[in-house]
Amino acid sequence: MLFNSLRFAIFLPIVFTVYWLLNKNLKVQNFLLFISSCYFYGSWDNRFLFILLFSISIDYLSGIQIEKTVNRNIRKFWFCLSLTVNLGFLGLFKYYNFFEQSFAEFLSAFGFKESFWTLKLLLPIGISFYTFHGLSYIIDVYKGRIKAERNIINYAVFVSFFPLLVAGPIERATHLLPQIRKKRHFDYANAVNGMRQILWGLFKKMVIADNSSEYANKIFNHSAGQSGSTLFIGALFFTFQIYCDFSGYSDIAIGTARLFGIELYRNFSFPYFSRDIAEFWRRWHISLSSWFRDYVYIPLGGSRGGNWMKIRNIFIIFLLSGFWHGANWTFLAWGLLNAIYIMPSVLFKTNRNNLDIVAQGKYFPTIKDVFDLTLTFILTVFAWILFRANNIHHALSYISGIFSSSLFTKPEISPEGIGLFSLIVLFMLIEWFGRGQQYAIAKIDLVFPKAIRWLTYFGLIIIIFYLSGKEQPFIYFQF
Amino acid sequence: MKLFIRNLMLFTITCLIAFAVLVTIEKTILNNMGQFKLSMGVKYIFMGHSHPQMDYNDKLIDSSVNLASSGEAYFYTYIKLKKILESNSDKKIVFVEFSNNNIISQMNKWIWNDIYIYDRYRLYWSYTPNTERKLLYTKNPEASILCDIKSVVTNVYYIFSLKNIAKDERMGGYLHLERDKTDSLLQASLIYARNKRPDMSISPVNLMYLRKIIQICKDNGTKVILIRSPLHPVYDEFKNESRYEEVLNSQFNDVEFLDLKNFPMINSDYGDLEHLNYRGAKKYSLFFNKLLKEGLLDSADKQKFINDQMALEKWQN
Repeated sequence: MLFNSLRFAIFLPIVFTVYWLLNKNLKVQNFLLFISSCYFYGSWDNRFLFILLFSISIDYLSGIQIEKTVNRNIRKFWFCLSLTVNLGFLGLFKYYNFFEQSFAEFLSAFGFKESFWTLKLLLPIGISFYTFHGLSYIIDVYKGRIKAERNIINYAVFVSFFPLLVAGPIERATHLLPQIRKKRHFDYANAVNGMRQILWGLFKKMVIADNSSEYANKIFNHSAGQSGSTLFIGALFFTFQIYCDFSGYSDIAIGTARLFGIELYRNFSFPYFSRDIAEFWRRWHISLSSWFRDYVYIPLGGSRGGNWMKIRNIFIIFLLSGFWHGANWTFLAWGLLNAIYIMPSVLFKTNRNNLDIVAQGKYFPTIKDVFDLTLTFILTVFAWILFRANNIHHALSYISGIFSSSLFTKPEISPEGIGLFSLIVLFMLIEWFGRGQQYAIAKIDLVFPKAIRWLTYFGLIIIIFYLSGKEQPFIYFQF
Repeated sequence: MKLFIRNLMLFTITCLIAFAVLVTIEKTILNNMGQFKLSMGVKYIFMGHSHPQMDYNDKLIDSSVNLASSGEAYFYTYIKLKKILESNSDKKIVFVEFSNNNIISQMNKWIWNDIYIYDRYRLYWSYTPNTERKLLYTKNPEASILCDIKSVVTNVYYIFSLKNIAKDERMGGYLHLERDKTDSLLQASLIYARNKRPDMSISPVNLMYLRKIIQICKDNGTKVILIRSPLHPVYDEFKNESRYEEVLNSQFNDVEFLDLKNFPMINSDYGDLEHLNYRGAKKYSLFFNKLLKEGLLDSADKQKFINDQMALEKWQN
């Protein structure tokens, strides 16, 4: 059930209405969220539901056992059991095929023809996300940062809450579980805010991302023989596609959760308005970056050791981040490239130079800001080529194709493509003026009277229906 | 909560009213634009999918108009023809293509698959009768609803920008096909044909709409004739010929049928195995014009008349 589908448009109001009708009984309300989440997840494939429920049960049990056991070895056993199950599922479903194929290719390079037991495993949707929910919970319980959850429904809602189940934001037990335990009250302003964020997310996904994907796919799939300028335009389209696809999804997820009185982590904070790569990573997929920071980077020593330790840790988290996205060498290369990008600012300790919002309180950036923004954006565009390419060879030929004399020729782009580009420019302008907010149109109620607001919403709805491209699944569903 | 629901309802109702106003404006203007009015003197209309669209060059056939359109199922032909008959009081003769692929279940996709809904339903949105609308809602509600809104906005945009881009798409028309890839396709099709099983399935919905086409013509006093235009001898769908004949003889034996599939052509007259290119279309259209002039429609045994003329044509070439 996609967020941009009719099924979800029917599902959401029903769950919302029943949920608030049951407001007097928190337990029943949470049970409804759990059942709805199971239905939502099962609508893709019922078989995947069993994996999810098994993972929930193991983590729930392990959490309680870790907390109530004094014996260190037994605690460690439950901790390791939970880690093994979570990472085992992830490894099996997400990485088995990759390792098997890579090993076979490696052997064949030396003339060996090995035939392996080939498992054509389907990747359960959202496994990378709910596995990370479970891992953060079990690590926090083991480290004594939180108490184990005794109510299995509460825990199941924490892992499987349908807005965040398939593509995040990746939540922490310390943030979400207290909200699930506590009685929620309907808040008008919060609900309206949620609806507005859903609308904005749909616009980003259905209008910008889906339309950009058509052009990006066309250029990436037929990149041979294209001019450098056309290839660059293709990379630009993908840059906006991935941003609007994923941040659009996150907006819908966060907005939906708001309708239920639950606040989720912010996942994006206008990443294309970053002045360096370190700032970009503080603004892009925030919930994953902070997860790696808290559960990998800091335990490894973070930036407390010498330069070599810092370099090692940076490479580890970026390679892990790349590998988290998928079992493909292109993702690893993407992670590696980002590690290289960020390295100078870490070594020269300038990585925390830009903690504020660019040109805060001003309409326009300074010339230096423009230079920094452009440079960071272009570096990001090239990194996305690795992310989007079918394989490393494709990525390298794509990049070398850009750096040819044809880079300065007129790109082959249709009038519709130019129209879409103009729309993207308009969209980025709106994002620019709203960059100090949670999402670009969050404060529209403070600026415009009701009639204008409603007209804006109506206009957005019409634009979504009129300009929506061919329906595409969310990119991050595959992770 | 009450305030939220009240405002949400109010917003929804406002949107619906605004949308209804747009629909009313759009329908009123479009229905008065005379989009389906044909030129005076048009006597013969060719309708159907890509086969007739590329086969009948209406400039070479006296008093005719080609309104066929690629990928058009009988469902959409019915909606279009209904409006044409309503908009033109003088009596016409309608030739409807009835080829081997018109009966197969693949035609269902041509009616309600996403891409066809976006391409076709959008064009006829303002003219689609409720029964047909209901069928689309039942088979593919998501695409239909999305298309409803897309269609209205598109049409309003066209109206206010004084563009009438949709008219040509809506009406169809002869398509000048340049390509000639029959020889290469033939090579491929011989390999392909060995592996492909004949598609013996049928689309009852599409056939039901052919019946509805026949019925509205009859109700209107318009003569309707089913026709099979030239096809290359190794055209793949011939494999369902037995099923095709069974459908024709059992369900449409009350309608005249003209079979021109064997019209003599050489490979370079075809664009591919089922469409004529412009050379073939010229040859065939001139022949068809001759048939009409020499009294095909008054002949007692029309098929014999055609076969004799085709034999003559073959002999002459």
